[in-house]
Amino acid sequence: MRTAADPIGTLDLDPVRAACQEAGVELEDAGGVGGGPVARPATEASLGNLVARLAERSRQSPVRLVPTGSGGQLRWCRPDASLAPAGFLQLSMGALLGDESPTGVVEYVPGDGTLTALAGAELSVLRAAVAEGGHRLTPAIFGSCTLGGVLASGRSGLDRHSFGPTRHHLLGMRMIDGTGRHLRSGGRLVKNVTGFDLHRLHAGARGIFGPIVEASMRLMPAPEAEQYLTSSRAATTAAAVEIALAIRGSTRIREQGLFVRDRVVHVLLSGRGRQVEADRRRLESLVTGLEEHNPGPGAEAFYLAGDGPSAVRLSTVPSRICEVTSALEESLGELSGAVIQPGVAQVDLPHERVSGASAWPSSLEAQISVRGAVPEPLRSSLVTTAPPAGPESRWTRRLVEAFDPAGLFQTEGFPARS
Amino acid sequence: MGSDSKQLSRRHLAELERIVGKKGVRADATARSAYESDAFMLQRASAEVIVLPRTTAEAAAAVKVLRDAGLVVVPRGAGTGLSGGARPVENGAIVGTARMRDVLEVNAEDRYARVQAGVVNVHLTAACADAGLFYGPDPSSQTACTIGGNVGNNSGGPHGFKYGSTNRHVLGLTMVDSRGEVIQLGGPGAAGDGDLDLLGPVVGSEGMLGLVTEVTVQLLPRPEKVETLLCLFESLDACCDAVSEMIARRLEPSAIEILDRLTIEAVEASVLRAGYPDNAEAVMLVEVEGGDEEVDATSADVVEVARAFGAFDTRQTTDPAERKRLWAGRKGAFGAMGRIAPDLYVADVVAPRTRLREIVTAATIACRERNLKLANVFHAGDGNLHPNISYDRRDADEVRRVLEAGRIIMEACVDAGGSLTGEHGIGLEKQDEMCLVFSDDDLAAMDQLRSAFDPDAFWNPGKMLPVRGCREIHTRPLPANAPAAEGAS
Repeated sequence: MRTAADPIGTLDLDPVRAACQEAGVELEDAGGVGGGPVARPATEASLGNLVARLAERSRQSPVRLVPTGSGGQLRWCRPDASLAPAGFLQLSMGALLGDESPTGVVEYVPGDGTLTALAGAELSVLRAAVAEGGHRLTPAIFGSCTLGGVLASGRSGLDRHSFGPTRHHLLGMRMIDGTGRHLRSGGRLVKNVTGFDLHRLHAGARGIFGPIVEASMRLMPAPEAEQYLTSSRAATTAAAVEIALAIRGSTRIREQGLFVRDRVVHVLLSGRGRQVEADRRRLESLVTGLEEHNPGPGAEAFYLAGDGPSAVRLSTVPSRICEVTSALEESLGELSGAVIQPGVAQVDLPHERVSGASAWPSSLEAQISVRGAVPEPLRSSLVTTAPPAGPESRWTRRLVEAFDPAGLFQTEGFPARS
Repeated sequence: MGSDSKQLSRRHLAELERIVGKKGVRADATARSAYESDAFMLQRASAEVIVLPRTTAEAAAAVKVLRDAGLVVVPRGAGTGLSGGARPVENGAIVGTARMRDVLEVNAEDRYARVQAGVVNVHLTAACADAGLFYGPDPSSQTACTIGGNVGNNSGGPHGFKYGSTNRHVLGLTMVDSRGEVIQLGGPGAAGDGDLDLLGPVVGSEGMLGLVTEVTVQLLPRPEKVETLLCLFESLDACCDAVSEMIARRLEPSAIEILDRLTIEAVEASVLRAGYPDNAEAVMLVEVEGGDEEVDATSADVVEVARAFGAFDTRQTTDPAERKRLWAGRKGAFGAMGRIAPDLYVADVVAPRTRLREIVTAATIACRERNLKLANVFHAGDGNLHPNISYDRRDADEVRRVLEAGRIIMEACVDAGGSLTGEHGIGLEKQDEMCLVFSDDDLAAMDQLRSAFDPDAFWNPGKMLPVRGCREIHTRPLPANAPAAEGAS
């Protein structure tokens, strides 16, 4: 298996070209995201065939594979491939969207509230498709991204507040592993405990067990009413966080989203029309200077402003978020903001601030422990990012060996191992 | 400790006693008999020893001794499982959580609780009630089943319609692996979105990946208003169709349950009498939760749909005592059916919610053709059906007919795009039927996942995954009464 120490160079395309030819897959030398080489399998069979052939050849001609959709999640899932696309063969999952299903929708059952779609389907297209039936697809991540990319990245966006992580809405999946096997896990039902949940393992795995081909999702009813509200600007991020915590603590307000960006509290309300109006009235008693905006991409854009792939985001329990925010503000200056969810709170740190501090990691995405450099109030409340030891590390290693024995889909630094 | 154990050495027994105390080691015939099955009574086996630790440290130390003794281990909660998942492996060991009953922490501010695996489901909700919080999953057996058992089966319950099954509520786990090492997965305050999700496969793994000793779960704030509705129908079909329409209209109650006439009669004849009327062929029990305005609007929509589909009466209540009485009937329905026959086969299948009526009809026909008594009580909102077949396990022919009907119901569900189990698990009962849903490659991948966590097949071997290949199962099915071969009574 390839080790993290292997340098990323330029992919030797001759053996890749031969494998693509044998598998009947179109290859473009520089047509992929960032100008990297890309294979465009037109069928799932040819995709599996190509992976199997490359796995066989990998001892003689190592190759690194990256499933890609629109490329929108590449920086999240595979920063190595994002930085050096010439060193990887991209597998275009969008190529599987043929004439029969150009949108990628395999099955939308409005009466059952479920959607099954190809991984290469654009999230915005799927969102529009289910909106016609009165449903919404979570996560509501806007911009260019595909279903497979979002699932692989494990991102949940602003929807996490009210609906939980995206993986909670994943009902089942079809995927191809690193040996080229076509696998299935879960189903298309809203409730199902048949067999081990391999699909849960793939959600957030950044593609290291092979490409997701198709996924089934539970849909939420589209809300009758939505309001996106912001507060006036507070003196500090910590002061804004205190307001946000008061909103979270009020069981009579059913907020659907809650975060602080640039010292402004952002609140999303949604649900039955009269209920949203009642919640807004209660909110007005807690928050001064409420302003209403158009919901949708606008709120998400503010939310994402502190949530970039290279941003530093520290997680803690909500009860500690005020002191954590204060401590960081004192030591680093103004923060990007914070996200307050029912069971977890996160502080967003501007990348330039933490990267300037010698003891801080450039990114928590790299799973570097930050404990040693953290002020005391923060130190005890930080969730450690130290690599897991013992059984967890062994389990992870064996999982990778089982599903990607040739190391085709592996990436440096993920998952963290001791 | 009485000991009729035949294989475990005195040294190993003494070592186990030293670790967990004399009360925590049972190897006598009486105890072994009591642990011969879970609530799936059709298959039994005798464990060599039952070990009942009090803490994670004791459990880890006991696992090392059992491993040294060459025994495999079946983890066990309260033994309320309905698929044979907690049945012992012949001459193996059981490690039970019956003495791990402490609620370790209730954190009201951060809305989570940390409990030992043996805490009874309903005790957790009781423990956090004063803080205005509750635990979402509420299986019908919640007065007996444990949180650890719920993790093993990814249990749901009536309110799973809104709150989801156990996997949506587990924030972290403490586990013991097959080497006796302790590991923490997840925990409060960890988002974990961009991490490998090892919790995901563990929840619902039927005790095959390790021994769960402590669980951290999220708690939910009590809703501002709760209303329970009872809708009465002259036809079970119409009741099913009304549920399908409610789903199609995207209504969001917290629970939608259906009870048919035989179930109503059994409940009303029992001590759990809920006041269900005797003139209905089916009742739909619906709960609506949330803010005042939200509850009022949703309840009005539910009543409108029910009446449009033929409900001849509807009742609504927000009175806690009345609500509790209505739910006691539903939750006690399985127990009440003991009045019909000595044994109950509780099927657990899932159908797409657009096809509820079709599967209920298939179950009715399968049972009628085999002269079996069928009662339906199920989580209609989730499409999770529980056709309950009453029988007497002393009657071998009736047992054969029950299993045959069970298989036909499963096949009908799978053919309709449904699944084998919604909350009871595969266990021993449905191993061969896994081939109705998955290919040999799928099952091999699941076995690889199991091996990654437990390479020695130390935990609960021989469950969930078919022992034979799918091709063999499809071409040469075993006789219906054959699965009881190993250690069967």
